[in-house]
Amino acid sequence: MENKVPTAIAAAVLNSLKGGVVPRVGLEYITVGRRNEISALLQDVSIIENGGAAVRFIEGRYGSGKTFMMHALRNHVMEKNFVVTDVELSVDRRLVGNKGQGLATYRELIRNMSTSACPESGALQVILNKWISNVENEVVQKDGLTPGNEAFDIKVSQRIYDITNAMESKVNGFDFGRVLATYYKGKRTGREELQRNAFRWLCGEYRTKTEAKTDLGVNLIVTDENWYDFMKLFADFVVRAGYAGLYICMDELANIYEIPSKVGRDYNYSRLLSIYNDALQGLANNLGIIISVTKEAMEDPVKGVYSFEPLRTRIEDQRKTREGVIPLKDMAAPIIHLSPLNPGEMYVLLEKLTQLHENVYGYESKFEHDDFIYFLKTEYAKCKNANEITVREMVRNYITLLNLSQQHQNKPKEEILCAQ
Amino acid sequence: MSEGRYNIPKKYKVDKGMPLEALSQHIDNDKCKRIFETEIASVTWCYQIIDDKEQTEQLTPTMLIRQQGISVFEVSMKHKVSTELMTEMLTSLIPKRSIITYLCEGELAMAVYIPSQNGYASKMCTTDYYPFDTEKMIEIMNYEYDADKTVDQIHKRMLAMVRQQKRIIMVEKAFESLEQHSATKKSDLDYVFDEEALDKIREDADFVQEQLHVQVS
Repeated sequence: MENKVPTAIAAAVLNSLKGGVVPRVGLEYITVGRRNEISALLQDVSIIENGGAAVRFIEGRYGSGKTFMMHALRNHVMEKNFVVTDVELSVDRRLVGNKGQGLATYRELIRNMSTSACPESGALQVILNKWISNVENEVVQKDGLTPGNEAFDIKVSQRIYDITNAMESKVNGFDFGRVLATYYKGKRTGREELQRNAFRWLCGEYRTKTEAKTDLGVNLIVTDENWYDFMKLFADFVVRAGYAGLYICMDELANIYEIPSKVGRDYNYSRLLSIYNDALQGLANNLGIIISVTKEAMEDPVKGVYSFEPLRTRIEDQRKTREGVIPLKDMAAPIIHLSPLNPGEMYVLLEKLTQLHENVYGYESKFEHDDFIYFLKTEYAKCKNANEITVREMVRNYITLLNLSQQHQNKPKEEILCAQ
Repeated sequence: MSEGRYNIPKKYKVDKGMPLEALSQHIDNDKCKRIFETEIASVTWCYQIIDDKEQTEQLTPTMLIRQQGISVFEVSMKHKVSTELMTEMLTSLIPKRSIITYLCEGELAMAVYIPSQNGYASKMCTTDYYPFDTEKMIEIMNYEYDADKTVDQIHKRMLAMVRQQKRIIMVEKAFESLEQHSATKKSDLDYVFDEEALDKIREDADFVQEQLHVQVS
C-alpha cells in the first residue's frame, strides 16, 4: 500500500510519540500488529451503525497501546459520521460517586463531544444546530416551503416536536425531548437565554430541579444516578440529527480499581454492569462504548472488575479459568487482550516511523535492516523479559535516535546507535 | 592419636540401615510422614564419634551408638527433597548430635545438627545438593587436626565448615540461575527477522491502515 502521509500529520504523529502521548491524528499510518483486534472493533462499529450497541474492554499493561487503539477507533468512527466523545476516568470522574463524580464524567463526555466537522470537542452546539438545519432542509425539500414563511415555521416546529415526542417513550425521554424542543423554540424566536438554559441543562449544569422547573419547565436534571440514561438518549438523538451513532471512549478504568472503599468500587462496578447489560440486552441503540483497563485492574480478585461477581461471570473468559491458557483469542469476547508487539511487529513499526521522519525532515535515513535489529536487541536487553517492553518507551527512544541521526548526519550511524 | 577413638576400625563402624518403618511411625505430620516414607531410599548410621578412646576399643557397635558423641548418618534419597526439611525430620526422630550426608542423583548435601543443651537453642545447618568435587570435599574426620579436640569441638568445626560450604553452594546456585536467566533473556531476542514474516506483518499493517482510513466524500 502506498504510504503517502501528509507532512503535517506525520509531524503531529512524531511529536506526540516523542512526548509519550498518543497522537490525535494519523494513527492508521503507524498501527502495526493489531489486525484481529481492529477487525473486531470495526465489526462493532458496523453493529452500532445498524442500530445496535456494543461495549468492549481493551485490556493491556501500561504503554501497551490501549489508548492508541481507542484513539484510532475514535478517529475512524468520527470520519464515519459518528459523534464521538471520550473521558479519562480519575479521582474526580467516576461512573458514580458521592461527590458528583458521575455527573463530572457526564459533563466531560458532553464537553468532549466531537464530530468530523468539529473534531476538537465542543460539538454539542454544532450537533443541535445541524439537527435543526436538517429538519429545515427537509421541510424545504419535501414540502417546498421556504424560510421566512409562517407555514415553514409551523412545519419545522411540527417535525421538531415529532422527533422529541418520539423520544418520550425512553427513560427520561420526556424531559429530554422537552428541553430539545425548548432549545429549538429559543433559536426560532431569538430568545437566546432560553436557548442557553436548554443547552446548560443538556450539559448537566443545572444543580436543582427547582431551577430547571423555573427556567425550562422540566422536573428533572442530570444527576449522578441518571447520567447514563442521558447518554443513551443522546445516542438516539444524534441519529435523528443525521449522525451514525454515538461512540464513547472511557480511558483509565484503573481509577475505579484505585478507589479505597469496597462500597465505592462496587457502586461503580454495578453501574458498569448496567452499561454492559443495556448494550447486550438491546436497551441501548446506536451506542458504542470502549473502555481501557489494565490487566491488574480487570483481574484482581479483591479490587478489580472481577471482584464484582455479576460482572466477572459475564465478561471473564471461562476457558482461561479452566485450562490456565488461552489457545486462541476469541475476538467476539467482551475483553480484547492487547499482547505486547513481537520483535517483528516492532521492526515494522520502526520502518514506518523512519518513513514518517524522512517525510517530515526531507532526508534519507541511514538506518536499515541491521540497525533496526541492533536497536531492538539493545532495547529488549534493557528489560528483564520481552513482555515488559512497552511500545511507548521503545518508540520514544527510537524517535530520539532518528532525531539525533538527522541532526548529526556527518556522524557515522554506528556512533549514534551505540550511544543510545 | 588413636584411630580407635574415632572407631574407624571396621569393627566399630556402625553401618546398619535404619529401621525406617519404625522411625516413620513417630512422625506426627502426615505430609512429612509421606515424604519420609516415599523419598528416603536408606539411612545408614556410619560412625559414632565419641570422646573416650579407651572405652571405644571394648565397645560393641550396639553399645557404641548408645554413647554420647557425634552420630554420622548417610541418607540416600530418591529425589532431591529439601535437606533442611529432611534434617528437621531426622533430628526430631533421633535428637542426637549428628552430621548427615545426603546422596541423590550423583550429588551430595551436608547437614550438621547440634541439639539444645545448657539452655542454648539447637543449631542446624544444611547445604543444598552439589556435585561430588574434590575441592568441595569436607573431611569429617581430620585425624591430625582433631587429635586433641573434644567431640564438642569437632562438632563445632563441622558446623562452621558446613556453614561455609552452604554459602559457597548458595552463591554458585544463585549465579547459575542468573546465567540461566540471562540465557532466557537472550533467547527472547532470538526472533528470526525473516522477510516472509516481516512481509506478512507489513501486509497486516497495510490492511489495518486501509480499514481505518475513511475516504471522505
